[in-house]
Amino acid sequence: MAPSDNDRWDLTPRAFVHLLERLSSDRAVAAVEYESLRRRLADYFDWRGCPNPDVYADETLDRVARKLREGEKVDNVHKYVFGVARMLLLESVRRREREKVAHAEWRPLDVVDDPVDEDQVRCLESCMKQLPEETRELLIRYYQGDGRTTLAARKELAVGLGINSGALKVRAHRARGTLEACLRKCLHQKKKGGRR
Amino acid sequence: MSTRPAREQRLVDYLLGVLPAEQQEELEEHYLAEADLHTELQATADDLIHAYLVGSLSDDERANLETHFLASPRQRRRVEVMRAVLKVMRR
Repeated sequence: MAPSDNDRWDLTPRAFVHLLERLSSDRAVAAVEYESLRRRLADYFDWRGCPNPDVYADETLDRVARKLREGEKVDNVHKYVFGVARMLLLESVRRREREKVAHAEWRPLDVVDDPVDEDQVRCLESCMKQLPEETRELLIRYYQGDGRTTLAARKELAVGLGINSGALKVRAHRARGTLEACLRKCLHQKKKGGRR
Repeated sequence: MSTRPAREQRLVDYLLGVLPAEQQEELEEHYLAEADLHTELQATADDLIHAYLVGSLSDDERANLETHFLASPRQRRRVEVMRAVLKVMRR
């Protein structure tokens, strides 16, 4: 459930600019930070079990922009954003009975036997081929093994790359992000092609 | 007994919804202010999903993942994508 309509306030261009100015005096840097902060907020709401995390992330930033525009004294904008997000999360908890619904819908997966979407697999095969060789190799080596051998394989990989395991984890995450971006594009094109 | 470093275990506990409330809020305040910590959390979520799919989580962790973390449709989509990635890599 999203925030109620009574709570809604439409972000004005002036309020948005005011918020950006608080994030950074450099407009380009501020725009990047705004997007990054929005993603962090969406994950915050998602990880805390809030339905419609993107809506709540937008609502948080809208409310912060509104307060800044109204002249609220804010020393630390990130701390203030967290305060508003926490308040919105509490509001959402009062409104929902999400887990009951989610549990009814969700059943654990069997990685070996459950079918996977074949379009997705075809796109992933194509996307893997498009990755730079070192990125593809990194992903394959990072995700190889059956769980018992994964940790040792990752340690070996990190040593080979001359980085620590934390840096390797982030590098694999970014490589996976590149792969997923390609997957989304490929699936979108397939969908468009199918409608023709 | 988990073999994860303490820092990583804290992030895993957060994602599984078992981090004590005070530590949870402290971590949230930090990752909302620090993009690098948020990226580390996202990467930890990837590892958690992978560990779930290859069956290397403990029974408690698997149960918490299924009831808390995977209650989110976004995370369930990520699991589906990771399953497909693993299938492709194993072909």
